[in-house]
Amino acid sequence: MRMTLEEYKKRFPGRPDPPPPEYAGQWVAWNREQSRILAHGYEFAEVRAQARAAGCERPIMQKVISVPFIGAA
Amino acid sequence: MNFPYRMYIVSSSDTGELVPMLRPEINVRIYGPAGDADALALVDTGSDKSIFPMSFASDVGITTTPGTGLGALTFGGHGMPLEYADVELEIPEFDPPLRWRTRLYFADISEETEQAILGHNGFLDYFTATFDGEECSLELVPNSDLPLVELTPQ
Repeated sequence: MRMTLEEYKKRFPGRPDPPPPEYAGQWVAWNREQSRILAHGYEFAEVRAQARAAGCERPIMQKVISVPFIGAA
Repeated sequence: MNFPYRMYIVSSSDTGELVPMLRPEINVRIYGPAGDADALALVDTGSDKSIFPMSFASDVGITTTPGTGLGALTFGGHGMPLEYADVELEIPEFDPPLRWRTRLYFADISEETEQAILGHNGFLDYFTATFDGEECSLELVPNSDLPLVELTPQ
């Protein structure tokens, strides 16, 4: 489905925001509500540890993709 | 239970400009001897197996066994060696949380494409999955094949 970010937010209020595209290729660690990014970087373990050190015991990790995905390579 | 698709801002294949893209991802928790970790994983009907980056296994202390078979073939014909382990996976958003034991595969995936994939083995085999493109959401209903792990009351 093609829609702009503004259309998405209007149509589906309350859904999590996309991760910032400037973090492409990195892991981001969200708080449990997925409303705030606590840490970001290229190493999964390091980013998760930073988020836990910031007070979130179980951050939700997300890999920020930068291009459409069509299968692992 | 319904899981809203996740939005990303990606580079358009057509023009290179930044455009929104929606994909069916859910939060899953993987358990290991050294703890557990939550991550968004792509629900992928095109993947025969559920495959996680090796970094997940390392972080929660899962010991993997190198497969002696041919591994997996990816789109484009690239071979990918796989390691495996029997682990517990959970979807914490269900009430009560759904936790099951299954075989997962792990791969040293390149940094750019390092992400968790929930394919048929280990995941989709255990659910009726309805992908609703209009509502941009995925409905998952567990079936009787799901090898549930009994949760200890805390």
